[in-house]
Amino acid sequence: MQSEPESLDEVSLIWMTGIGCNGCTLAMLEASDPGIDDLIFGNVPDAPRVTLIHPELSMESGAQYLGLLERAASGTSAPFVLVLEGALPVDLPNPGGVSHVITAAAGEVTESPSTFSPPTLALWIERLAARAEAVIAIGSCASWGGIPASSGSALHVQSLSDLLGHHYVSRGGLPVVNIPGCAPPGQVFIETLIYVFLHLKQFVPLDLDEERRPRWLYRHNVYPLPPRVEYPPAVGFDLSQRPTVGCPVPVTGWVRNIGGCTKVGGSCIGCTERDFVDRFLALARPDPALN
Amino acid sequence: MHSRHGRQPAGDHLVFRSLPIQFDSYGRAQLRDEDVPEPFDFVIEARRQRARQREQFVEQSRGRAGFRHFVINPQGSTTIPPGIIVALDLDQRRILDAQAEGGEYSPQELVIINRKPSDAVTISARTRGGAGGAHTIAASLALEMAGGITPPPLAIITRNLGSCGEMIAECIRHLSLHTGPDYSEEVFARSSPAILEVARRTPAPGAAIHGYDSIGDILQAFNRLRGELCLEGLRHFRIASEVTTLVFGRSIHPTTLFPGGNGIQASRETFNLLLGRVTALLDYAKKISAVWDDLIEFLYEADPRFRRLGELPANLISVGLWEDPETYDGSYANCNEWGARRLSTPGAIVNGEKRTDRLTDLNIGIEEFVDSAHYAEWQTARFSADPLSSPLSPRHPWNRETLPLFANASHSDTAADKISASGGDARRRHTWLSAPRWDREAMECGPLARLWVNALNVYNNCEFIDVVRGGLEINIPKGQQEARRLLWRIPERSNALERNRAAACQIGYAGMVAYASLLRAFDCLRHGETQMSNPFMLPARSIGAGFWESAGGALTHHVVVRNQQITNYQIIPPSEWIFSSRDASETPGVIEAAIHNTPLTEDFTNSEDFTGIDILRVLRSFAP
Repeated sequence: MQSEPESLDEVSLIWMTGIGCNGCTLAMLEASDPGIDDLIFGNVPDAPRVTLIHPELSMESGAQYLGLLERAASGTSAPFVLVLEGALPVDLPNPGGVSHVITAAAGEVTESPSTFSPPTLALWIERLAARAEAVIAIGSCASWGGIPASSGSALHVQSLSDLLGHHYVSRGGLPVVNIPGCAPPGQVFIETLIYVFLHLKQFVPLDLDEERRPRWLYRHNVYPLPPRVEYPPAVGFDLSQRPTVGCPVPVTGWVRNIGGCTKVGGSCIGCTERDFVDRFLALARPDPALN
Repeated sequence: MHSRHGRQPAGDHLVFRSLPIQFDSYGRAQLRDEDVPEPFDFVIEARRQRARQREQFVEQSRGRAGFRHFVINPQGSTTIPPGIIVALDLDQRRILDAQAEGGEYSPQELVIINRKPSDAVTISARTRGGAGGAHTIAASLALEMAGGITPPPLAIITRNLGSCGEMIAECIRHLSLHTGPDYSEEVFARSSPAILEVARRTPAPGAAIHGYDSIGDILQAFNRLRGELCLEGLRHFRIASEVTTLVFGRSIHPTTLFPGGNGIQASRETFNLLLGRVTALLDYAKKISAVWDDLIEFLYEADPRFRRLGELPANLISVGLWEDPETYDGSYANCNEWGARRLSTPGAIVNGEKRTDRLTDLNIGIEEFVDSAHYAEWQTARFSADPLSSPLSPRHPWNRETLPLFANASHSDTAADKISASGGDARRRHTWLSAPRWDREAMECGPLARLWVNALNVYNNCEFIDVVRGGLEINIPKGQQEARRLLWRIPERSNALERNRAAACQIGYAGMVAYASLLRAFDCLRHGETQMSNPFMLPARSIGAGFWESAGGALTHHVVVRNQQITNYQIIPPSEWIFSSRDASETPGVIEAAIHNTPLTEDFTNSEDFTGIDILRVLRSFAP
């Protein structure tokens, strides 16, 4: 079911955070030309004017913020795109605590905190996803589970696709869009978001690969490798024997075409891939004895 | 003079008042009384008494009509401050109690254990997006100490430069996107319209520097995501991120850093690109300091209660950062020497009084308590002394084991057992943040702690930053704006507004450290010192510690390596210093104490009107 394209002049961007490090939020803020501010002010041709609803950054707080989520979840507000940063905890790992439940972005007055059992993040996501024009997982935690899903972490987490199911389709006719990377460059997020808007307005269909990543951004293969060191590593690297991962950084750099991991002598740890800590970190160690 | 143990403890006063550690005439630390069994196993009864009194008082207030709980719980995330439950009496307009709740379990320590040492650098970087560089460096320092590795000078300089970029970016983001809007026109219009009226009539003394004619104009410019100061901050946040990216490959979770060096090839071009960006940030630093000076002085004048917003005794810790490439050798034996040469020096201040500036004292004074946290007490203490034979508490990070207590797990809860056995009541475990203490004090960290420590340590390690009587002077050269001397004075007290002022000043401080580092980098190039790494090899068995500062404050990494595997890894990030809850003696955590002391300045007639902005201002005064 596609919504009417003409209703997409004003769109809210509802950004939720699970278990993560906030790095994807920073990456999003770093992008410019266009940046999130250009979308907020409606400066991007053919993209809607965006209202950012973010736990740290939006203007509303407390009950007002909760009201925004509630209206979006019940379908009485402007159309919206849902973004998740961070992994979703499966079991609440904190007995008696109040974390991993959304109460308010800033604060709420209540009679007694002990009777206070607000809905969990996963519950909110499920309600919002049912109404969202599109749903985006930013970063490897939301796309695959990331660091919290690594061996040893003692956490049981799931990705956004795990929660919504792999057959999920948004109101705008899209599956969960993955923008993996730890973190992905912010520009990659903004660019994908704009293409999601163009898809929703039925201008250009969104081209996703089999991992539901924007195909044109993740089609470059890079080799997980150690950083550049000025002493001889114990072994040479036979690239034909090495795995590759898809990554936008060889083309985009990190920000405004500056930097970017192996482009400037850093390591590639394969951070856009599933379970990168367990699968690729060993290929990126600077200690010659271990390579 | 200089013993094997580095510089002598400062003065003849005691470094430690609560911990049973004293110093002999050579500056060596030892237990006060060797014969006491389990010398670190004590609680401070007076503090428990005070905590009991407060609990009773809250209990008595429960029946009152104005009694409410104010629950702050942003979504569960490692970076957004954890939940806080504030008990208040709205009729009497006072805060009765505050308790830090929830937080988030951070899996990094356990993911790192049983992996190869260098993996710690990559994994720990992912503890926090805005402090990836600081974590990467702290992990590298810990492994450099473990392996006796020293990076070449230019690698150390680039490490300093990237860290300056990260610090500046975080301070700008903090001030323009988070706490700045707490003092915006739109907030005052709702919380204190009278102050807004006065602000609009009050000319801004620094108008010539920052361009805002009245205080009201400044408040308007802080409107969230629309105001001029917010958007200008966002632009400069991006410039600072480019500084980090140029030397770390990326600004979030750097990929070029490793123990012994930096993977980038530092060229004249790189440093020129950096110089342009640093100069732009220095111009911004001149302006933004003037903005905050005007805003803060106005608020103190308009409503003196702002002086008590988030007030705390000056218990401050900074482990220092920005290495001197000539002194730094990574070793624990010399860490007091190279620590004292850092461009921001380490130190601990308790009740406004300087206790020490030696990294070894800071290190052995740290203990982690898990009495209020979802972690089991660990059974064995691996180290009774540090590598210099100074006594270590069983709760020291080299000894601590991370044993999370999940709802479905069955770790034996020994701490609760102990309390029950001693006749006390087992307290509810309610947070994922363990409680670090130094000499059993809850210590504040962040920009204010850093500036304060540097003002009391009279080192003058950076040619552009002078310690003057009662403060610091930062001399910023001409850019597009005229040259300006920023003056930061030690404030009468630590409070929310002084934290924000310090964050603004930190931009100029870090900017001048970056400027000085660039001058040294060009020197290195002139002398052909372009090497960027030394071999990274670790002994099979070693221990190490990394001390660095993120924008939020003191950051320590402690590592134990056995059979070339990490067997223990402990990270104490600034968020644990700030947002942790009670310890064994029930000393309140920093955020808890800061909220206790906060007056409610906002206008409200009933609980529906109450926004809790003063509590949020305190919360957000602690850097991001």
